[in-house]
Amino acid sequence: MKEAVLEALREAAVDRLEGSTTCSCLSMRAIREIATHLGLPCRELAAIGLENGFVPLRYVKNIGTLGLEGQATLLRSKAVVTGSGGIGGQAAELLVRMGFGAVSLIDPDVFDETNLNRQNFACGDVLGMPKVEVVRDRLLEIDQDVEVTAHRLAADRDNLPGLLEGAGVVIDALDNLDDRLLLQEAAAKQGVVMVHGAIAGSSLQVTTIYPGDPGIASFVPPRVGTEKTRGIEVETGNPATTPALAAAIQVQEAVKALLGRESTLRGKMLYLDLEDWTFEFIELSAR
Amino acid sequence: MDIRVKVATILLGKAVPPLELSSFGLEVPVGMDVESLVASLGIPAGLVGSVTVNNRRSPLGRVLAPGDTVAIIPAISGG
Repeated sequence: MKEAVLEALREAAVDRLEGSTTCSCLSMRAIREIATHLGLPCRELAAIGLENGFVPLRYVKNIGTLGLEGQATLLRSKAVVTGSGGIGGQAAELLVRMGFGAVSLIDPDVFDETNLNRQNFACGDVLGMPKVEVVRDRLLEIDQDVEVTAHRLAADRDNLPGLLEGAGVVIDALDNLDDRLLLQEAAAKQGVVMVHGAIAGSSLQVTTIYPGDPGIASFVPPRVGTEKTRGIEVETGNPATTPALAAAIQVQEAVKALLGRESTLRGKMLYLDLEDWTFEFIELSAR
Repeated sequence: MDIRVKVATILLGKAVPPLELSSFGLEVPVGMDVESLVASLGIPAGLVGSVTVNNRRSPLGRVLAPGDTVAIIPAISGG
């Protein structure tokens, strides 16, 4: 079987010069035709191709950074995105374009008009529709071979273990500190790396939390009353730029975690202030 | 004694009275702790998520030393 796959890939591949390297590239159409002919999922065929030196054109601009092996690893990996709002919608798109093979979306809400300023895929014609379903459909327009799962529910202590199953990384795009802490606990128990990101006004923060790390635990004050704990974003709001930037940093961290590359944001919180272009690296410790 | 203070820009307008600069030198009494510094700057304690002294997150009771750099950062949780 493997020889038949490689023979088909060799026949379909087209050489392309990328910088100083000649890549054997595969078009989307070629991958689909071969996969159908051989009865393989397209993602699996693309991964086999990468492992044998064939680059899907979709990823050819990633390869100089990720490498063939790294791109194949992402294709065989699943990322969970908790929250499909400002950060989550942007992160989901970036995960697919980077080449994650499976993306799982979790959010209970529908799009409303206040989302239009910043949330990826929020458009006039999807107002009132569940965010996870809209985001899922848009992701499949970008790449129909990605496995996208949409969970229209709020992540909680009971459902998180199941939702995180099989994931290599979880993007924290939630909107309150209590749920973020629950996510950290669940991710640690499941052995999943969590990339935390939060925004307020012209600022953002990101840290990468491996199981057992202190993470954001020391940041979360005890809950008072029944309202979930939020930050200064209640006053500052959230403009369009900060969720996009936070999501980009988080996805970069997610890729590094999956590829086993060292993260400079492990054990440290990056706080970036876009107003005066200053940043802090806050060393984190247990509460 | 002299210290260096950095305040996140989104906290400047929340201080009473509002602060104008996000980074400045300040003379403070010997023995002043982090909590007193935040209060003396008029920054509402409930908005502060972290205070770092020389890049390390510090408890509010930490006593400041000459030459310290203190950064005051809000709690943020928007997604």
